[in-house]
Amino acid sequence: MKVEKTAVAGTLESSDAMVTVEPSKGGIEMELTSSVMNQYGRQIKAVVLETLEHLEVKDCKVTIVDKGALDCTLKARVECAVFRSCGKSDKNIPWGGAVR
Amino acid sequence: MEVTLDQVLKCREERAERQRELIDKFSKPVVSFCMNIAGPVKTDNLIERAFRLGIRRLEGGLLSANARILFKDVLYRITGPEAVFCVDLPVRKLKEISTRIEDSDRLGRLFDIDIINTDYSKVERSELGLSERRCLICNNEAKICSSRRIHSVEELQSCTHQILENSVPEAEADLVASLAVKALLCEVYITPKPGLVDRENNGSHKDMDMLTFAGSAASLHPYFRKAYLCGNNFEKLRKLGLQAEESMFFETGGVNTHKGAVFTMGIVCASTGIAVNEGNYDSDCVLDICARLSKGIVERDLKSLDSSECTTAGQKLFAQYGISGIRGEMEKGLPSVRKYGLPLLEKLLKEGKTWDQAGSNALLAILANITDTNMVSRGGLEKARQASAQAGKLVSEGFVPLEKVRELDKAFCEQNLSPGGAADLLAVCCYLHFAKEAFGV
Repeated sequence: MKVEKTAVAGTLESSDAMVTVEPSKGGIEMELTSSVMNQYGRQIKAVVLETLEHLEVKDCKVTIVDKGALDCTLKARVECAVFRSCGKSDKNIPWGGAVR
Repeated sequence: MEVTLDQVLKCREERAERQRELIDKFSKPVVSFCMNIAGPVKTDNLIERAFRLGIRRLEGGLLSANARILFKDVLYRITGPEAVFCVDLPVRKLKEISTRIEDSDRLGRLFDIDIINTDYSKVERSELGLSERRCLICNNEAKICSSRRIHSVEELQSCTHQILENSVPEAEADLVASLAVKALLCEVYITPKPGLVDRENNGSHKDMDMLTFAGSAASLHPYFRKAYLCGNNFEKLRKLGLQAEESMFFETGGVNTHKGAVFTMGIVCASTGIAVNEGNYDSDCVLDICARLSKGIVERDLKSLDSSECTTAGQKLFAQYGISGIRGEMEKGLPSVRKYGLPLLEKLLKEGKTWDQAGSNALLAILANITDTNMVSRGGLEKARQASAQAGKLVSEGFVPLEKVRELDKAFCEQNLSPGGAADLLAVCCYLHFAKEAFGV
């Protein structure tokens, strides 16, 4: 899947994450801030990368403001942001794990 | 009912969108209040009740800081109840208030109050140097446990349920008791009232005044509290009622101010508890339960007695005249309150009439539709019936101006009449009016 325009999914509520994806050329570039950065920063990055890989996103800039989201939430927010970035309407976004 | 992850996530985005719209509209910070409930079931009877108590605390906290609440909206969604406020107060102050409430007790742990600044950013505890929220189960920082699901959903749910079970009925009982006491005070306060103690005179009474009633009402607070928690156990309620009478008589030095109210309001408080527990609170429901709880009481208390066994005024009058009094009224679910007193009180208040105007009119409407045993025992059956008819004639002509009520007051005092039974029922009307705000959806 190709990230065509900037898109956002999620909120800043606790146990959620706000994910922004933007088009870029040089592979995947990630910027992460998290309320549990010291404890789980590495795991969060791994979940994001894995989700993007499943979606076959090769190039994008992804910015995550994590507020202690569960992995399933994080995954769903990344998927949603990517879907929105390639013009899928809100109605047919398969929230949370359509792509395995 | 269980919700899916996507319902929860969609709901959060919608909430954030509403918050942004409010900030754009009012240019003031937003306070968002939700319940902190782990697992797929986000709402049920207890959760909604806790939420209502939380809103009271939150609004109280805001008002204590002289906040102006510019906007308030409450939503009961399948993803959990939520409320949003737009408030004219600095975010720092708002965060202090919300943190204080969240950290105040175990129930507060289940409240999730977010403060959103006018730049749409969420105010964090750490920004203000406030301590982080603790985990529901262990003493770790909450976000560390929750983001990795350190504790199982089952464990979290069971802990949550325990907090709700332990805190919610108790907090509601406090609230109900204070509303019941307020209603008793409100009844005394309403002026003028024919033959009764009010702000202008002590009616037909020589041994009591407003202060006697104030003390008596306050002494009944613990009783109303216990009554709320009593459930369907009517025998237990009657025992609590006898204790309450003792407290009252001690307080008043032997004057009967609220014996009737102990019976009437006690059953109403117990019925409130049952209605709230059953999850369908409204005034009619409470009155239906009053009838259910007191079923058979005329038979048990009155019909089965020989005249020699009669001790209370109600029992003597039943033996003499066959008047079933407050027991009969209660068994029917207080029709004088349901059909006459409460609708009239609420209609007049809604029209902008004062409590004195609305309350005195409601009292007359009640008096017109019962045989008040206090009236009978003071003046005999004939005079009591005449007085009822007089009240009925007045209210049938529409709104009764206070001067007319004062004339009736004078006439009652001259005949030593006092409609104490109707007064207790007026207090019930006041109570149901207050409780509607507290428990009605």
